[in-house]
Amino acid sequence: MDRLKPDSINKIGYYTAKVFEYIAVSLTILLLLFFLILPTILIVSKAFIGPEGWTLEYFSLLFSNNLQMSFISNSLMIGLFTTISCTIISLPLAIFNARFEYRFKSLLSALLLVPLIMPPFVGAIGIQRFFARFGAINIFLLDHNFIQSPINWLADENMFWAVIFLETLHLYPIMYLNLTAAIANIDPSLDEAATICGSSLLQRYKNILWPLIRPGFLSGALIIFIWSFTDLGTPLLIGYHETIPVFIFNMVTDINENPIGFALVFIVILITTSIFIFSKFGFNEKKYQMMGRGHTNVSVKKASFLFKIIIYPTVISTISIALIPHITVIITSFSDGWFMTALPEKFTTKYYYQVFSHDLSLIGIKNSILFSCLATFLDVILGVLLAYIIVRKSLPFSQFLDALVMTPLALPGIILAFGYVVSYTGTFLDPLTNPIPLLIIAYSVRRLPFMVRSAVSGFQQINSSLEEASQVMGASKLYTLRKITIPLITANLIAGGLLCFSYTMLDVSDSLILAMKDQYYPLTKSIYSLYLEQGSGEFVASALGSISMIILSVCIIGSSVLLGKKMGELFKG
Amino acid sequence: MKVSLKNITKIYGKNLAVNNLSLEIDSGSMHFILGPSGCGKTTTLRILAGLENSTSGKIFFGSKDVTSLSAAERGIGMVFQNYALWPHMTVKQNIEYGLKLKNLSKETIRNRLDASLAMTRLEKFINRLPSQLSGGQQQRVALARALAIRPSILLLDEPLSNLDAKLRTEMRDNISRIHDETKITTLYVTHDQKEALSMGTHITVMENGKEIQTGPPKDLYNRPKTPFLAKFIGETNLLEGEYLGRDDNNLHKIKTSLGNFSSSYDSKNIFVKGERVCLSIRPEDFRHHIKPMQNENQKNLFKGKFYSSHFHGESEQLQFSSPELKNHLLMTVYKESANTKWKKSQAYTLQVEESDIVVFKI
Repeated sequence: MDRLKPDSINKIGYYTAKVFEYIAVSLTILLLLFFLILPTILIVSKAFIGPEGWTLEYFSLLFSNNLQMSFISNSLMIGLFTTISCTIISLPLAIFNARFEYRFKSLLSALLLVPLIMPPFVGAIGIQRFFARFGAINIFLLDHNFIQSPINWLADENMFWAVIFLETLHLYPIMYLNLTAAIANIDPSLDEAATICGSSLLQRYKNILWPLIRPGFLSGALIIFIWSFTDLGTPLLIGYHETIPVFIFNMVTDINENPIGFALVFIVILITTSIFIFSKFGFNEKKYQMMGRGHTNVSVKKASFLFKIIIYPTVISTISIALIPHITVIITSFSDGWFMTALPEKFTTKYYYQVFSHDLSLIGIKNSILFSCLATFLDVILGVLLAYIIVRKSLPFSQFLDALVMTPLALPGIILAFGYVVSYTGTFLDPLTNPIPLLIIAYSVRRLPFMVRSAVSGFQQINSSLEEASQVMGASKLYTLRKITIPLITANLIAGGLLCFSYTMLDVSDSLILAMKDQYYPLTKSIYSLYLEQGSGEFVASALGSISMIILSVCIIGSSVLLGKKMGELFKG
Repeated sequence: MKVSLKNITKIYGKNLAVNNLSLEIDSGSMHFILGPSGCGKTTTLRILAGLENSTSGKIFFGSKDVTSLSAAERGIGMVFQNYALWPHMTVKQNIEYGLKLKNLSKETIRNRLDASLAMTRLEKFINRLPSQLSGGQQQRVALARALAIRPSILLLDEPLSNLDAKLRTEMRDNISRIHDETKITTLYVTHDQKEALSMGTHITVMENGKEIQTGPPKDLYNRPKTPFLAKFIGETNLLEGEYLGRDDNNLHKIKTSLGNFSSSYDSKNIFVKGERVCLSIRPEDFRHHIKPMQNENQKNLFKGKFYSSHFHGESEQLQFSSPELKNHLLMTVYKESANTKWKKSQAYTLQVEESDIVVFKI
């Protein structure tokens, strides 16, 4: 072989890569500074600053106001009970999925994820129709003489539980995905080693399985708690208004008249960030690395007859109950003149036609697609660059960056949206004039953690030697990213992008608070407005809700196919 | 091209990975860095490749200081331990990747691709993806990819560690053949001493980030500088003792718990009477005597009880125990002694030549 001198290499590529890294980081820091940190600081400061300077008066007023204190406890209870019920439902399902093989497992596992495709507030529409005083359930029970007079399912005292019921049905898949991933990640030899030592099944679950899946559980629990604690849509549509998010939503209209609300906002921020920080730093150090050679050879046993007797009823009944809100929404959307009967006497597709002829719904679909596409695009670009910096530690402050991009998870959407209204009213970003820039920014800031986590999971799967091999060949970092890394993590990026897109499409808090004029309404605000309309509004809202379910199903199924068991990684706090 | 590492130090946090390492790698040599896990050999290779920055020190390729150059600017070829083949590219695309980056003409790319494929005998697999190749074939693709860019220096990071024993032997021959054909200065990192002893023109042994000894394989085996080296390269028996000075024949006299020994080892060290020293005796240098020996031959004798044996095919390794020894004494016997019936717990007398005892300072 003849000997040649190494060919010349283009140095510019290296500096371009560094410049790109710094631009991405600066852009992210600016984005988070102006649209996460500043609005938060502003609303927090309003809780402490009165007309005459610093004060704690608003807090003493808040703590002496029983009604508002009950909002705090109601919301906390919703968060707590939803987390507990999600855990109770998900733990056995996750064990079944990760450890056993049984017929129709793939189908049943996919069906278990269906609740993810609908925001719970859409389910609230269907639930109201079914469980109303003269709704389908009562009519059915009356017709068959099970009851003599209608039961008031949605009486004031039951509303609290109705919210928890809907939140649980929507959020348990997050816990299920987290626990399944955590259990599947455990090397089966650890369990076998304990068996050989003589541990009983219960001891193995307590001493081996639980400590190893605890970090996964806590990640899921954190997301579920914060989500249900601060969810606006469900209590709003079901009519349970004694919660913090609904109070804050109503406060937007009289921001300057009720400063006690700012104290309440501060309490919410304090609770969510404390839980977030506690879970992040209190438990993360206990994440155990599997020492095995790989995690793929997890032992999946064929379920014995006894286990099948347990598995099928558990899984099928969970799916059946979880699908109630979806089914009710779909039935409502097709019903024609449904009144005083258990099921509609006639069915029609006219509300679907109305969706595409009604200005409000058309605007909603069009706006949401546009806003979501732009927000997702921003997330994908930033997410890839940030994940690269975080995983490859190419900049000195990558750990700080990792913590920073995750902070939107700790700040509820309702707080952030409220912060935007407070911070940007009267500026060129005033949501009352044109909320589009703020909506897009709010969507991308809140979904950035999903995208970053998705890309991080992709980068972590790629051995850094694949990139080093390219660099040794003479490629710049940017060229390597384009030619080697991104093609290898495309599945993760598409999955992360689809999730960002779908969750943005069905965002409730930002959309309901920031979009104040018809022409800027996104999908969810259109559904909400249609629902409030007299006449056929409820039916058109259901049809629009059903269409949104289809959009979200396509995205979630796509992500699930692309990410497989890794999907659980996205829902880690 | 000659490669020089001058006072390279690498510190990770509080860990000293490479400690003031200086090394000269001759042009066209196949230089091995050998050492146990965590000794700093891979870090050294990565610093040389430009994948890591050294905390201090300089690297020269020929007379050119490349310390501040990035990996891409150094013009090296590298084979990674896991081969690092890009799974979404075929064999052809993997090999062409580096060539295209250099904006070479299509014809040159084609020629270099063909030459690399021929050299590594991969012509048949050109359109396959890495996942469709066996471990040995993947290793050859990694080598072909590294060679295609005509590197001035080839770096190999434990390239055979993922292969089975038989394939490893085959690939050793392959790499040696390619090195003979190309004469590219090659730095090869491994923890497998057999690989280093059989293929290397030079070996550097590292321990705790430091160079312990550099030299041709035979020198390292026969004249190790330290007990660690004697123990690390090949197998040896180490015995501690007291230095008694030189006898009438100018041989070193050492007193051990097993008796007195004489060594003709020409050490650069000056030993002082009464100081503690260490003896190294290779297992294959022992002989055993069945018949009683003449008086004048009764030097450097050990008495030990046979404990156990391990059959290695071409040889057999025996273990002898003695109340004065912490470890068993190892002795390797070859075919001629294979018919001896070794009886457990029976006492045997072993002898070693004066020239086969290496003496170290402790």
